[in-house]
This record gives sequence, structure tokens and C-alpha cells, in this order.
Amino acid sequence: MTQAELQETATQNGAIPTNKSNGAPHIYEEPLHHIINDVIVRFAGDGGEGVITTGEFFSLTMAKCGLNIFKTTSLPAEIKGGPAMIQVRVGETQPRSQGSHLDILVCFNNEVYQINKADLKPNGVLIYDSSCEVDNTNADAQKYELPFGEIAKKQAGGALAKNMVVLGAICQLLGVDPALIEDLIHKKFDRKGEKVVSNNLHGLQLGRTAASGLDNRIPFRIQPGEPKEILIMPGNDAIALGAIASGLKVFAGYPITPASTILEKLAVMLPKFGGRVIQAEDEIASLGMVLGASYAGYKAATSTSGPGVSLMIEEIGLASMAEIPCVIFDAQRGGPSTGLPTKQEQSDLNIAIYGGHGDAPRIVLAPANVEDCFTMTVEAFNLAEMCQMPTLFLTDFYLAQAAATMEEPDVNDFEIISRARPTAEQLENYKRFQLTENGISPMAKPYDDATYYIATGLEHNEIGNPDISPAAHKKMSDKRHQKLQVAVDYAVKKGTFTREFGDPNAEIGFITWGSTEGAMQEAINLASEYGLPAAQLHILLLNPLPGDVILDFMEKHPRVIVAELNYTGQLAQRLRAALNVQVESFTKCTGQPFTPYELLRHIMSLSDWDDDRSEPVLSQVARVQKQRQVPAPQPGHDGQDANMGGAVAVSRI
Amino acid sequence: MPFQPKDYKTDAKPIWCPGCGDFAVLAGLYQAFAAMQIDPTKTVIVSGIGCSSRLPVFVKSYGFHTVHGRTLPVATGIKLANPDLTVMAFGGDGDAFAIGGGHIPHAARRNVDITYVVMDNFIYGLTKGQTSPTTGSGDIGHGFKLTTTSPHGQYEEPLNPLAMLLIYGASFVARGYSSKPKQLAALYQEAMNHKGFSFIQILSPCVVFNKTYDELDAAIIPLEGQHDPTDFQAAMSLALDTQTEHLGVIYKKERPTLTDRFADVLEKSNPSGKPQDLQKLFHSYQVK
Repeated sequence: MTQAELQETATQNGAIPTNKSNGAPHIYEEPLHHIINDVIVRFAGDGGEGVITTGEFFSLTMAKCGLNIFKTTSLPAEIKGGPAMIQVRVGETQPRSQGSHLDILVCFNNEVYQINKADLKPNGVLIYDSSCEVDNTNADAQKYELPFGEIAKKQAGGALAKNMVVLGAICQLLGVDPALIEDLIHKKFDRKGEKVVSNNLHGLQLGRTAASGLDNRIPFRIQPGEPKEILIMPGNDAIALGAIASGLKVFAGYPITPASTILEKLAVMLPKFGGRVIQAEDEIASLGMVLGASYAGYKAATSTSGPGVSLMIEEIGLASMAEIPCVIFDAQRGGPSTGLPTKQEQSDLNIAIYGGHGDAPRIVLAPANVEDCFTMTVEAFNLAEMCQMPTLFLTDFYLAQAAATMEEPDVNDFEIISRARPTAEQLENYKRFQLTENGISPMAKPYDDATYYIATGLEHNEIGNPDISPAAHKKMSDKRHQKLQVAVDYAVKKGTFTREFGDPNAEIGFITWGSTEGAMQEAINLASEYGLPAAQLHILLLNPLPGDVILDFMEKHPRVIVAELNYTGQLAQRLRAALNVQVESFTKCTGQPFTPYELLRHIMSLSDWDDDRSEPVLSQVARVQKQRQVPAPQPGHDGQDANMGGAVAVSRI
Repeated sequence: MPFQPKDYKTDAKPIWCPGCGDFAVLAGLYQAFAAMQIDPTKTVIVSGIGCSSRLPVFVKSYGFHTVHGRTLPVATGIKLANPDLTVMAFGGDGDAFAIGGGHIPHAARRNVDITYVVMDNFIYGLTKGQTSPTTGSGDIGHGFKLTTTSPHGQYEEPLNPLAMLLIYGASFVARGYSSKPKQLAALYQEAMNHKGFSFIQILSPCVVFNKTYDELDAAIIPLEGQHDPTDFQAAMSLALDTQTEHLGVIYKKERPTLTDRFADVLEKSNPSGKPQDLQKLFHSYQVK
């Protein structure tokens, strides 16, 4: 296909190609077909410059416009100072990933400009402080130099006002009603006094003034819809809320990036619900306390990251052996060892499933998005309690620090399951580890259940006394593993532990887990617009595997690729070993999440598109495509714009 | 019919060697339980790994035989979850001071309301005779021996359990001896009645790998009235006397327990005491 034909195809799909593939500076002609309510903005600055506040205010403003947001934050490893960024993606429907390239990049200083400049779309919008030394990387971008450092210092009463100046400028450029931000400023700062409020309002106004007159060429517009009741929920907060909803009573944790905010949130919230939160002396103590609390009959959990899971492994074996329910939240980060504490990776699957000596069955779950962080946390407790097993919950850096808009769930909508307790009859001749058909035996609660028993990490008999005879080891191993089937049956019946997406007839199928789901969905959507069908199976229950669902997917799609963020393809290896199937592995191990763009590139390469064919399309995808949004039809018009030919909006990346 | 000591005895036969001090430690516990009329259904005994850590198997009560060195975190979790339970923790000198040594300061400073009994035999018995953190060096402490892992001489000085516990802030510190079973039963009762973290080091000789009865018989001095256990300096002087094993309550001073502190936390977080509405918590994330 020639370049012209390609563009023709794309045009039919609604993407009018730009005529600037020759690299000439791009100027938007009037009138614009604005891209409405669909933009990716990154604010980059130093830790102390208020860059995060700017992004938070911007997110809130967008949500107040009735729009959905997905925001990710990257904080410097330093406590104060160092490059920081916050990226906000805005959409009329919920964005499921951070996207690929930036539509708008706002740089507070030259250092962060140099770090972030390559992430901007070639013809994106660059807004930068006068201190930035902008180079050829962004030759084709629309560039707006605004001396916001200077404005803040000289006119707004100090460098700290920079964030409001920037916020004023960006909202002016996007056509956002300033009253919305002013309202937020009042809500946030009224209690700090009149002076603080007026300083912030002044900064905002200065930013607006500086940017006024520049906005007519910006291809993005925010048009507020009906304000709706919506939450902005950080991933770790959703986990904390899910744990409370599940009836958590004791939470023990040790600080570690990026899991600490789960511990911190629960320290504030759980006591309001009668629970207790303790900061342990290390991760071993954390899980030890959790096992003690759960043995005592109460729901208990801990949160950590990879290094902490490594330390907990012996006790995970104990929980499996002594059949003690517990939930371990693992906010994965780059490993091994201390690794990349503030970077994204999905490489704890092996340790979660296999970590430890002996055969120690456990449940492993992974959420894909912020809603999952709530709903799957409830399921993590349900499965732990139902199966009396440790449950590992693999969230990740990306999800832990991301926040997204979500609808408020009805807390009464969720099924809450608690462990089986002995009946009065069973208490008569109580056997804690009684052999049963499905392996599950009732667990007595000290104080409340008038009996007693020993829980032990030694192999034991039905009563619980140590027994290392061949018969005991065989029967008890059977019992512990039988319970995995209970988990699979529950998951399959519920149907919420796997999700399918894309073309059911596609030859190519992707399997994903964790927060990779959204980027893959977007890539599949994009690919379909270029005539490349693909399907996706997303798995939330990673141990035990819902085998039938996976085999069914593999039946439908002859070529299956597992896309995951680790070096060795841990889920691919797991599927090959557990199901004896052939899957391909597509991995990325850079400390960064997948972007839809690079997954699209992979789909193209799988579809035998050579570079001559894929590169023009990819470079087009990487640009701002101003006609993605159909302009509103004129009154009396039949809806068919003569020039647009009834084009539909193209998926954004 | 009130509980008799024998009522706390399970059918399981102790695995200990004939002559092991641990039999007396267990017998003393039965005595103390009977004296206090302990309800086995409202009591949990936690242990680690080692000869002594088998103890919960031999006592009629709830029990949790955990992994090596993690006795105190597990016991803390149990008490945290249900403060109404009577919680005791047992372990040996290796379980307590080697692999589990990192947990002791924190249990002590938290003043978690449990009783922690370390059965100290100055040796690793279950694994057949290796050096422990309390094996005497010859100059300091008791139970000096060339062990299977120190065949050419002891190259470390022993830890001082009582001094450690005092410095860590334990609110009750005592020492007993398996050859003094009556005193043991009394020490258990005093420790269990103490509000807060109570620690008892029980000298409990191993007859196979480090037989110290004669040496200890010569070194012990029971405290008889002349010691004021609320005097921290006096307690520390006794603890630092590395040639004499003073028996009895070395130190005892009540202060708020972890249970008390958490009662405060719950009170402050939710003054009305009424169950909170989770839906309202969700509302707080609403964009307004």
C-alpha cells in the first residue's frame, strides 16, 4: 500500500491525515475542528515547584466538567527537589491507561524539559517557562513560551505561586471556565485565610492573562458537560476501602514504596470501623501479626512490595500449611533486590505463585484498574476466607500511584464471605483439619468457640497434632491442594475473574494481567481501525488458573501472545507449564508501563506489516490528529458534514 | 469441679529427653493454670521452633506452633485482634535471641499484654548441640562448652537476656530455674497477672548437649525480700551480675499496655462508638 493509499484508508476510518509528513512546521488552519474533551497533558517540574498541585487542581477541574480522568504521578526519588511529573489524561469515557504520546507538555524548568521533551507528539503543544532551552526535538510542535517563573516571582508574590500561574495559562488555552478553578481555590484555601486565597486567585489571573490571545490555534478544547457524581480514586485508597468493606479487623504493615499509602490510609480510616492498624518492625513481623490475628478469628492483611514479599515467604508457607486465611497486598516495583523502587514492573508473579519451600498452595490475584483495586480486594478476602489460604494481591507501581474517576459503588452490592466455623455438633468432637470432600474444614475461633486445637507448621493430623507419617503427609497435601478447586469454581461461576475483549474471530489473541489491560485494549481498538483484528483475554485470577477459560480462548485464537512487564515472561512460562500450551511472549522490562502505541506496533509486526507499511501509519498515530472529533452539526443540517463525510472519532492514544 | 493441674495435660507425649528441664517448666505451667483456673478455650499459647517450642502441643488450650523466631509477632497479632484472650509465648534461647532477636525490643516497648517465657538451655538441642546466643564464653555467663560449631573455642560473648529486656523497656522481667518448680509456678502467676509485657527467663538445662545442673545449682541465688523490683537501677545491677543467676522478679512496673493505647486510638477515631458508614467514606472522594 502506498502512502497515499494508506492515507486514503485512514481517511475512510475517520483519521484525516495531516499534509505535513514532509516535516514542515505545522500551522493549524482556521476554522479548527477541535478535539473536544480528549487530551493528554503532562506537567513536569521539580518536586518543590508545586507541579503535583497543578496536576491535582487540573484533574479536579476536569472532573468538575463532567469528564473522566486518569492520572499518574512520578515523584523524584529525592525527598525534596528532583524532577517530578504528573500526567492527566482526560476523556468523555474513562481512559484506561496513561496513553502513549503527550498532546500537551508543560515544563516548569529546563531540566525537566530535557527529560520529557521526547514524549511530546511531534506536532503537540509545548508550554514552557522561559528558562527552558527548547531544541529541534520539538521543531514541529506548537510552542508557547510563558515566563511563569518570572510572573510568579515578580507579580504573584513568589515562586510558590508558579503552579497557579501555570494552571491559569493551561485553562485559558483549553477554554476552561475560570470560575471552576476559583471555586476549587476557595474550597482548598478558605480555611487558610483571605491572603492565601487572594494570592492564588491573583496567580491564576496572571496565568490567564499571559496566555490570552494564544489559544486560538490550540487544537484541544474542554467543553463542560453535565456535572456528574463521580469519585477521583487513587489505586491504593481503593484497596484500603475494599479491605474495610471486607470486614478487615487487623492490619499490620511496614513502610515501603509504593505500598506505604495503603498502610497510611488504613491507619486513618480503619479505627473508625473498629479495626486496629500497627506498623510492625519489619515485613516478617507484619505477616506474623496478621497470622496471629487471623488465627484469633479476625480478618487480617498486610501490604508491601517485592522486597517485603521476599521476607514474608516462610510465613506464607506457614499460612498455607496451617490453613490460615490472610491477604498480602504486593504493590510491585522494579526488581530484583532493591531494584527500581519508583518504577513499574510486573515481575513478582513467580514469587507470588511459587515463592517458598515445599508445595504451598495459595491464591494470587491481580487488579487491572482502580475499580478492580476495590472489587478484587473484596474478592481477595473472600477467597482467602473461603479457602483458608494466603492470598497475594499483585497491584503495581503504576496502579498504586495512579488515580482515576470512578462511579461510587454501593457498598451493599458486594458479597462478603467469611471462613467456615464449626457448628455445635462439630464442636463435640472437633477436628480442625478434618478431611472433607473439598478440603475445607471449619476453623474454630479462640474465646468464642468452646474448644481448642494446635495450629502448626509441622505436618499434622486431623486434630492438628504433629504427624509426619507418610499417610498424614499424603492426605493433608491432598486436602490443602483440593481447596484450589474451590477457588477456581467460585471464580468461574462469578465470571468476573477474566475479561475478554476485541474480535472473537481474530487469529491473534493477547493474554494480559495486571495494569497492562487498558493499554492493550486501546492498541486492539487502534489496530482494528487499520484492518488488523486482535482479541484479548485478561486474567485477574493467576493462581489457581481458570484453565478452561484460557484453553477456550486459545481454541478460538490460533496465535496467542502473553504481553507482560518483566524480563522472562513469567505468565507465559506459567501457562506453558500449567496448561501445556504454546504461547508466545512479548515482554518489556524498562521500568515503564506499556503504551498503546508500542503494543500497536507489535500487532503490526505480528501481522507481517513490514516497516514500509507500518511506519507511516505509526508516525501518523503518534501525531495530534485534529479531525478526531466531528464538529457539532449546524442547525437544520442532516448531520453529514460535507468535508468530513460522516467521519467518526478515532481512538486516541 | 475446678480445673486441676492434670486437666491441662494433653494426650500427646512430650518429645523431650529424660531429665530435660522443660518437663518442670511444663509442670509449673499446669500448676499455675490450675491456680488461676485458666479457661483453655480463652487462652492461646504461641511458640516458635525448637525443643521447648513443642510445649503448646502438651497443654490443653488453643495453641499456635509457628515458624522459627516469629513467636512474638504472632502473639502480638492475637492480642491485638482479641485483647480478651490470655496470650502466652514460649521459645528457646535460639528462637528468642538469635533468629527472633529483632522482635523482642518491639514487643517490649509496645508493652503488649502477653507473657513471654524463654526456656534457656545455652545450646541448640533440637539440631543436636550447636552454639546458642547464650552459650557461656568461659569468662562470662554459664553453660560454657565447645560445641559442634565452635570446636576450637567460643569466639563470641553470650547475650545478657535480662539486661536486654530491661533496656528494651519490658515492664516485667523475671528469672526462674527448672529445678525450682514451686517458684516457677508462682512466677508464671505473677507474670500473667502483670498488666503488660512480662518476660521470664527460665534456666532449663539440656541433659544431652549442655548439662549445666551442677554449675547452675552453684550459681543461683533466689531473691528474698531484699530486692525492690520497682527499682530499675537495682534490677539492672542484678542483671549485669554475669556470674550469679538471681532468681525471682527482677523488675516490675506497670505502664499503659498496647491494648490501652489502642483503646485510646479507637476512642479518638470514633468518639461516638457507633459503627461508621463506609458509604460516607466513599462520598469523601466525590468531586465537589
